[in-house]
Amino acid sequence: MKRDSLDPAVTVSAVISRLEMSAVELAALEPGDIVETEPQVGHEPMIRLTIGAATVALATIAKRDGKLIATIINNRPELSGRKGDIWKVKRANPTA
Amino acid sequence: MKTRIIAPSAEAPRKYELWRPIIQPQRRQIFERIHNRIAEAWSHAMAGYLPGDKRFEFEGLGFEVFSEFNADQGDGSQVVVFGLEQAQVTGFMLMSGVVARSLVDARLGIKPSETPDANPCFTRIEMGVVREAIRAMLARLSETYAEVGLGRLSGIRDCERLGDTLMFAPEDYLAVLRFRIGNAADAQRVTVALSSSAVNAVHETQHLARKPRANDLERIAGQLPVSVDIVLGAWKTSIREINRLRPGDQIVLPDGEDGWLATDTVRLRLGSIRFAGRKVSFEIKRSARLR
Repeated sequence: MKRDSLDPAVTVSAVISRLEMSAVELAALEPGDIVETEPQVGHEPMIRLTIGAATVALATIAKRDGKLIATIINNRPELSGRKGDIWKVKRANPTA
Repeated sequence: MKTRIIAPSAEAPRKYELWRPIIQPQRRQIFERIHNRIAEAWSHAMAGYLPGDKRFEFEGLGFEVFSEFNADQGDGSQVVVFGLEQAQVTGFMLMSGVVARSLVDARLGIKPSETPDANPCFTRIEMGVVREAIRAMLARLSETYAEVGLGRLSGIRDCERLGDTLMFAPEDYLAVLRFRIGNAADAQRVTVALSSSAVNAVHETQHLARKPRANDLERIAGQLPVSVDIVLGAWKTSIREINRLRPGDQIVLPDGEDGWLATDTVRLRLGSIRFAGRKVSFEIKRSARLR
């Protein structure tokens, strides 16, 4: 019974970037727009493995043989202090 | 005994006229705030009548004697008189001919004249539009006055000349509230006048004084920061597998061609993800349905 209770299926997401933007800016995003992000100074690009809102692991990212490979660096992440990535939007239609 | 020389040109002192209204500054400010709100309500309710992006602006509150005010009525202006039973005051709304023409032109899509006629002529249909506009404005006025304790407008009737209303004595003091559409130079004015005692009859309810406008709430809510994730992909696994993850373990990730933007677990936009050094770019795709 104990084994079963530890084995439900969960959905893990691979989050490549986390940022904060205002609801107005978010709502204004249109097809063709490009959101460019970059980690804050002092941080490296990283993958967060998340279940719901919780981060369960952190990983570095590298491209090998055309594939994206994540290498786990922390499976007990302490994320306090990590700021959101910096970002900007390039409009598909700048006059809109 | 000292003597004081008064220059011949100096104005002779006058006795204080006891019937002049006494208005406390605080009451005056409340009255002005109320009419600022009325200008906003008119701008919102009359959007289909206002040319371009023009709005009603409240110019200010003044006090005038009815006889002087009456003499200034333009020929083409529209006048509607009304009563406020609860506050026991009477009043009228005066819309200049230029404003009436402008509202009709905007409503019916007529190209406005470059030289506005101060005494315009209206067809029956156009006059119907003017009456409809005035009724809509009076409805907003009535709602606001009811909220501030003056009561709803009653006994509304149209009138050609202010002097014919027989509702005001020539020496009556009026609280005159002037509104304009667009710039002051456009001379597009609407005037509301009430017996001056109305100023002391209003009360600004706590609810009304503190009620933020809906568009203020939208603006504030729109500025709230939202945490957004750019997600390469997702897969199902078990908690046991997650627990087994150790530093150094490697996972092959989705290529990012079918990524998405999400807040918490709600997908907002689909897109493709590209990498360039430290930078990640997310190009938003056209998508019919998200969850």
